[in-house]
Amino acid sequence: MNRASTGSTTGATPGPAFRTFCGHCGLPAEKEAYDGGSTPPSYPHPACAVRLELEPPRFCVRCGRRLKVQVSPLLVGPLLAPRPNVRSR
Amino acid sequence: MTIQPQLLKHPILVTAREQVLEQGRGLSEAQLVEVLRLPDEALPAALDLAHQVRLKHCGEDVEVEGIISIKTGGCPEDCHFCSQSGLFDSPVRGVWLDIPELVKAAKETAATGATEFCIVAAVRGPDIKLMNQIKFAIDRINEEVEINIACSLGMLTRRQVDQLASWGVHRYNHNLETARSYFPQVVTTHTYEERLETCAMVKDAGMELCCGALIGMGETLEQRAELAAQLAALDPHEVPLNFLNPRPGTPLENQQVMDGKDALRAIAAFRLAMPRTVLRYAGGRELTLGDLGTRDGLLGGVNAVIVGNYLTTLGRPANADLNLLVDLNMPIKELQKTL
Repeated sequence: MNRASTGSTTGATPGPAFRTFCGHCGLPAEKEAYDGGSTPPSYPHPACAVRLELEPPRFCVRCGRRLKVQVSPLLVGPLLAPRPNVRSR
Repeated sequence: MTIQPQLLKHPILVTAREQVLEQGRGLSEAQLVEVLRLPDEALPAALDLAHQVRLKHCGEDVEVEGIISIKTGGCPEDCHFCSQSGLFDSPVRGVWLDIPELVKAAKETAATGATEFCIVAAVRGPDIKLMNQIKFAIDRINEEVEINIACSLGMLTRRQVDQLASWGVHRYNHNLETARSYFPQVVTTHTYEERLETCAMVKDAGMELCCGALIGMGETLEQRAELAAQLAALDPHEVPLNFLNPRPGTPLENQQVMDGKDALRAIAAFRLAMPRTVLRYAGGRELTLGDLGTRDGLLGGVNAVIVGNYLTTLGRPANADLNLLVDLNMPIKELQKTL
């Protein structure tokens, strides 16, 4: 099953275009509304949000796949390695 | 000199004051058990004593270090606490850092006032490819950055120890992690003796030994004291003190986070075991101790910090720790190239 469902982004009322995923555990996020912008918002589960204060996201919020992450001493966020376009899977 | 009334209620603290503070001799394993069993009301006195020991035997400076992973994940070893083992279903994916990024991180670390930059690889031991990369990285960093370079590359051969020393690596990290009696519960792919062998070779080669602990993995208080005593017997230049941050997918992922007061008791005990060692706050303190506990530890025997992030997890913002040092009137140790 392709975890990145697609939906229409046209019409008067933008509906959910993509399912979003929790950056900590990689499971579907609780909120799914996403208007199709280039960067989906991150909606981690409440318990996961607490963990994300002390560790970088390990999963892509767009497709739920594991990310390559490089942590540096002073880098606030992780460096995310390029990954294939999930919509083409 | 008068003895504080709080100390008199706890004979081990009276003993520690005479033996460690006045004579500079660390506590024995049995004495450390007594410290680790002190009641909560004795904790402030224990921390204050540990702080006095640190000031008298180490000075007021705090050593600041940054650490970075040159090779993350995919490790063949099964250290049960580690998210970088390739044997567990951890979300940490393998990644290599290129040298320009490494040099950039060294520059950023030096800009904080840090004097130490530790390059870490998740490996059993380095192969030729990794050693070549380390040599290249050391040369590039030395060309552009004024900072001491340390390495943590797992178990070494004698030849590798000698190579690192000749390249100017002034300190090598290789942790004992836990007590000898508990080690088989935590690691099965190599032995305690193998770790000790690398530590011994590092010291023989003239590098400073950084040999740390990870507590809160389910060990008993007696085993915690055993670890402190075993570290003291090794006489390392530095002891990084980690507190378990249970990592998803590892065998210890469901281990309860250790109690903050137990962590502070451990800090005091480790200082009273090793009055002259650099005792560094390392991973897990944010989770175990929080901001207030970090302050308590710096006033309870700790005299070094890792600034910013760790290898796979995030630390406090660098400025938070640096500002705390200013608040506590603790100067950052200045750079002294040792090799």
